[in-house]
Amino acid sequence: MFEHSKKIHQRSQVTVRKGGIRRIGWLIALALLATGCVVVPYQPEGETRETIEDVPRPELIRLSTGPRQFLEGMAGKIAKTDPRIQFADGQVLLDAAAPDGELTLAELLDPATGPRIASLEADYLVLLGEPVDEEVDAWGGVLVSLGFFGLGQSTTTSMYWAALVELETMRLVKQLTATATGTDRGIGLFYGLFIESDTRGGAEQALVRRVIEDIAAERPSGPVRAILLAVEPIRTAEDLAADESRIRQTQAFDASSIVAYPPFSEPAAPGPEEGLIYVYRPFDIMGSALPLTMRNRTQAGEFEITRLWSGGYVPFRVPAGTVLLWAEGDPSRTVTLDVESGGVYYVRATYRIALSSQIPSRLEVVEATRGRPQVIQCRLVPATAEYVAQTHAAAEQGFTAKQLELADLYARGVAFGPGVGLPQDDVAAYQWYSIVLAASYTRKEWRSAAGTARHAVATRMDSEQIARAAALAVEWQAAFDLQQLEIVEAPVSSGR
Amino acid sequence: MMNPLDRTSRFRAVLFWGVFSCAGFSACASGPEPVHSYKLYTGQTRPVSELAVVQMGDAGAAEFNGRPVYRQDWSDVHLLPGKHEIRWQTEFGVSVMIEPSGFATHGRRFTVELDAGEVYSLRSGRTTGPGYRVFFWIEEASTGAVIAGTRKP
Repeated sequence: MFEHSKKIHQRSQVTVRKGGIRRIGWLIALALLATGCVVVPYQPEGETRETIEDVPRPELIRLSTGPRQFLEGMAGKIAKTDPRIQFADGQVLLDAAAPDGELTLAELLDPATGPRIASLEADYLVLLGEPVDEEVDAWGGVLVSLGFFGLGQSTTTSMYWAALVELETMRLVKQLTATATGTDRGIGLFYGLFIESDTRGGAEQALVRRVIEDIAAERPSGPVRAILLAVEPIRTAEDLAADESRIRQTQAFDASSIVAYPPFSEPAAPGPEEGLIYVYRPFDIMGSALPLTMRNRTQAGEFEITRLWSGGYVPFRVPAGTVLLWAEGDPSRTVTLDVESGGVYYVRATYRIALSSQIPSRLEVVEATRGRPQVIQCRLVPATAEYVAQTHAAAEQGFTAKQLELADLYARGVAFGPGVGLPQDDVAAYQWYSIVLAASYTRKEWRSAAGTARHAVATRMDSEQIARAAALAVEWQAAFDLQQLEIVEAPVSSGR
Repeated sequence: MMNPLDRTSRFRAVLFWGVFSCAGFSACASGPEPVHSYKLYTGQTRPVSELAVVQMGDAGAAEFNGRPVYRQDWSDVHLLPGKHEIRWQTEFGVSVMIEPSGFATHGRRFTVELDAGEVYSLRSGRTTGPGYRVFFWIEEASTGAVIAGTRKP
């Protein structure tokens, strides 16, 4: 009887397990159908570390209630885990401790502050820094475009800073950092599977645990009344200058938008012994974010013509004779033109979707009856010479994306006419990559691209060249920062 | 005794109406967002009539005299009347040809004289079409009068 019921129990367990697996399978299938991807979240374990160093420049650390949601969330988590700890309004402490100005950490720890907040009857002040995330390692990537394609992972560390101040004695009891490191992984072949780490959650949990332990160690029993405040850096003139640059660099750079270019205008007719070729790309949303770098070869040599965005055209003159045209990265699709003196030709470029490593382009020479109406619909994109000049100007103005692009141009060199172009210059490339890397507001992907490219360039350079390039970067940055500080904006009238 | 088929049908009906009701309620149940005012002046709390109130409006992130304020935390800011430096940023959705991410952040800075008892709003907007432009302005919430910047035409 007992054996029988045991068998039934085992069988039912197997059935339940099978049912559970089937149910999970259905859920994954449903998620794939609905969204095209499955995201599996996990929370890495966080760890805390006590720091004994003095807080650097406490006079530049402001205490505030600014990140309201963050503070309320943390207070809620601490109070939920240990109901002995109850939180009072932080604004009351700020008003009492600094009635005439901002409250800095230095002022808080000043013995003169103690009597001003004695009436609050709070036991502890918990200071919290907002979380900081840092990508420590990354490779590969998943392209999200009409599905998910690729394979990649990225490891991130999240860090919180906290300090515990005993208000009765105005003593800094402890300084802590809580960190958690996790790896996001993704794989996609139309459908995507992503494993996503919640590093902030892991670090936050560790911090909450540790703060409660530390309070309990100081006060093992009885209710605890605490106040939670955030710490904010007080920004120096250098910080403000860097921020000014960030605002400038985040402004959209219209030159990369096809709509910013001028509409069709009739160029001068070709002169004697030369022909005029229109290279154009009818607007198509597919691949519109990617330009085709058009190149040509004539008797005079091989040159870059333009970066052809979707919806753009460029007219260019070539000496009469044989001309080869192709899109960079796809030389197998070269078109050959026998240019006659005074002849006008139309070369249509299109982007096609293909699962190949090559730039998916298609070039064809079309008749004027078909080509001209299509060219008239397009906008005039700058020829490479003009484009390089624009990139240089934008890089000098502090646009980080353009600094990276300029560095790339220097790293490979570009010829856009017989004897004219931007010669390959490793020192200049290293300089501009360094400028991109030095900017604190640089996007992760730009930083990563600049780091990899600078390393590649450095392998071709000797130590003297590297030192010179690094010095040039520092020099440029110093001059740029100074220029930013000199920006003085006139007050705007209230209009009354 | 109830027919098991009836029971299944009834269960399905309950499930359907349950899900339908939840969807209906969740779509309609959101009330007005609570107002969170950030006290950005020193000393004891004063009545609003003695203060200049600046609503975050279109600003995702702002700075009032160097103090960071985020809209997710605060719906408006209380300041003493007088001259203030206000900077703010707005994230606009743009073409992927301009920004691969599809978003571009623009910011502006104004130094303005604010009056007691007045409510102001930080506003911004962008034009669409060829060569888009962004506009930032501060307006009086009650009259819509622009006190700084240029209103989007």
